[in-house]
Amino acid sequence: MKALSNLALTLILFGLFMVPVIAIHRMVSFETVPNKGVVAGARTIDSSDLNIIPNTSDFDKYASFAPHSFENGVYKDNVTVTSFQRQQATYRGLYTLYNVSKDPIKLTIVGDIAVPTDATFDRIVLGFGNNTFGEKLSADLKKGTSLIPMDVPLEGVNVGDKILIGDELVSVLRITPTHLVTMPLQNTHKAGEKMYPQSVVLTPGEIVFPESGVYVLEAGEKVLVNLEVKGSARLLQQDQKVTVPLEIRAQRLDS
Amino acid sequence: MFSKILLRLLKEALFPAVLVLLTKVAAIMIFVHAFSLAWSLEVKTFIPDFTFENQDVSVFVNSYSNLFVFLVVVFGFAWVLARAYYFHDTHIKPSLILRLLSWNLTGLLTSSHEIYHKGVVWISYLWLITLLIGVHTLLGINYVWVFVFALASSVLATWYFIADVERELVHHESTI
Repeated sequence: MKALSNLALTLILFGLFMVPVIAIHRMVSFETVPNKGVVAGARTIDSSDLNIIPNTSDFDKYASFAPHSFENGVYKDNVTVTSFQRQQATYRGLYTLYNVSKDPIKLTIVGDIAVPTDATFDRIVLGFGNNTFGEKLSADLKKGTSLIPMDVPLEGVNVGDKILIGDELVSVLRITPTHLVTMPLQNTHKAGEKMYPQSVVLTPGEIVFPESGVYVLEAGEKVLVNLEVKGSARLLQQDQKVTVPLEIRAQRLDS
Repeated sequence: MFSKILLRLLKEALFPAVLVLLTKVAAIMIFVHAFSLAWSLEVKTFIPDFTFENQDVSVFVNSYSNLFVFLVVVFGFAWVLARAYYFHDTHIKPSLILRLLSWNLTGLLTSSHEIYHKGVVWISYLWLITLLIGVHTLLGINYVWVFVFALASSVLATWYFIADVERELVHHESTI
């Protein structure tokens, strides 16, 4: 009995020596990493994969940029735009993103950083889109309706994505050439109100929606980042600046 | 019922076992952050599996993290040797005992029973890690100079340990 107990102890002692050594041996993997898919996220996106170009020419003095960094797939910037009293200003193509890699890239805009608190604006919407940013509703939409008429397809929206109508985010169930079928609307919306693909929405001191939907940018393609700012009626002067911190996050498609 | 030696060895081996594992993980994370290396982690079994973007990076991280682990083990063993040389109750200088008493550090005093159990455990880890580094070097996943350094340090440390054991045996024979 004593011999058996001591044998067991010896085995435990042997294990106590060998297990850490084997664990250390196994801890760093030396498997060959293929270019795509296996080690998801192991190589982050950088400027050699995705060119992010702020539009410093089209907006003259009305928009300016202060890019911090593009590291680990995250592009950080503080963009300053001009807000006009009672007007909705659209900065289409604030940034142009070019996928110069061989693989598709997932993109998201994040505005959940520090929301501007000054009352120079009523609302800011930030999202992707190559054509017009958002489409106006052609008819009133009553609360509870699921059928949204479209004159033109809403760019960048697929089944399962969300769209923004006013301050309401609603899921898309089906897309036809003339309509979007969504979950029932919680609010009534007037004709002329704009709907967007899921976008960042900020109001003074509040982050209404912190992230845009995911945009998949195919290799060799480009997409624009757009910003709309609705100027406050209470502006002290006709136009004032508002600074929006933002991040554009890029990931490989299978990460 | 149980062997006292085995129980003692088990007790002494717990701390180095945990220390060695934690050191490897900590060293990998330090290098990842210091050099901004892209990495991913999978935990298929209870062993975390770090994957890097290419073979060169993996060899770099593996070599330096192995070196860290070896250094931690060699410092642990060096501490055991220091206690064996200077604080062993069979040959400690009386003046040092008085100094330890005045500093309230008599806990540093050690007996043959304690020090040689510790010594056996730490020297075992020392040579196991050296052997692991050797195997990694043969497989081409560890820098050669790390193995040379580890081997030389292990041989030196072992020589000191054997020298202390021999001195202890001579002292023991002379007192009989």
